[in-house]
Amino acid sequence: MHNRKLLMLLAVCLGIAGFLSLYASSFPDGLEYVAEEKGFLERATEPLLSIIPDYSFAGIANETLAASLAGVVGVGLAFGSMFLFGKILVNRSTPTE
Amino acid sequence: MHIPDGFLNNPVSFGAGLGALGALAHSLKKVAQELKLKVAVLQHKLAGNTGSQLVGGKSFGLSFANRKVEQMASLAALIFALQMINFPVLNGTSGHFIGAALATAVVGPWAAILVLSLVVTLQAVVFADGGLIVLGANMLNIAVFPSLLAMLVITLAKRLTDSPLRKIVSLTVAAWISVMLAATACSFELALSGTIALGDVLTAMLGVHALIGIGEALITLAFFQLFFSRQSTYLQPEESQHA
Repeated sequence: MHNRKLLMLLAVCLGIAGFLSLYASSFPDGLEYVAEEKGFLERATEPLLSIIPDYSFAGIANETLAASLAGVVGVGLAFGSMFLFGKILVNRSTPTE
Repeated sequence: MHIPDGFLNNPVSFGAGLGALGALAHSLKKVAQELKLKVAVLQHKLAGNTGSQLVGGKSFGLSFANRKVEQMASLAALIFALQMINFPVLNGTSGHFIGAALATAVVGPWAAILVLSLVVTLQAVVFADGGLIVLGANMLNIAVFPSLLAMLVITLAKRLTDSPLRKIVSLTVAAWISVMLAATACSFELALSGTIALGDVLTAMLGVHALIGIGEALITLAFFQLFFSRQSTYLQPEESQHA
């Protein structure tokens, strides 16, 4: 991937997660809807871990900022961890001569 | 589509966890092999040539590997971002992108499984989206099964025709059908757990996801065309792959 295109794609990801996500539908998703309709939604238990629950930082008063920042952090984590993991894989798979 | 904890019983969660672990180990091996093979083949090819080209050969193999890693990381970021966008479908329901067909079209099913599994893990661990106990089930539904089915569709299409429409048609079908498979797998896990009868949940899940799948297909096509259509991808005929 050319660097310019990579940067463009990352900018688009940040735009989607940091801005467009604020306008995402808050209707229940397919599974939630079916669970509600069929009466097993209440079986869901509290999450064991909730560092940034509901894609929004709990500690930030401004809701827009809290949600936007959560999206940006998520994109960073997704790109960063996959990149790091991939680099380790390449280093381990490349025969050293 | 992300199952929260509580929906599945322990045996199903544990079984799905084992299945997901097996799929991850296999995918990891396949991706590592592909990266290694590429470098080794290029080194072997160039060994007969002048020594000066050997250096270029290795760096070409490495640049292939690095490009693949860049593609995987970009896909992880893009799929995470797009999965945040719930779009309304019918009567108060929404759906979101999965991305298995897009990832499979770009980096192949094994790398796609790794990318999607990473996204699902991140969502469960950091964002409380999808349960931790049922993480294996979510990996199977969102990463493993749809990626493999997408690859099957893409491979079949390659064998059947070389029409210029093949790319678009196979991507569309792969995207839609992979969502249907995810919904089917999810329904089976719920039924096996004794949460709800299979017939009941399957028809409801497939009905909603037939619509969500249309969104999946549109988003898959748009982002493939925008960002990946000029790169070497798995949608190309065998001989020009990674060329």
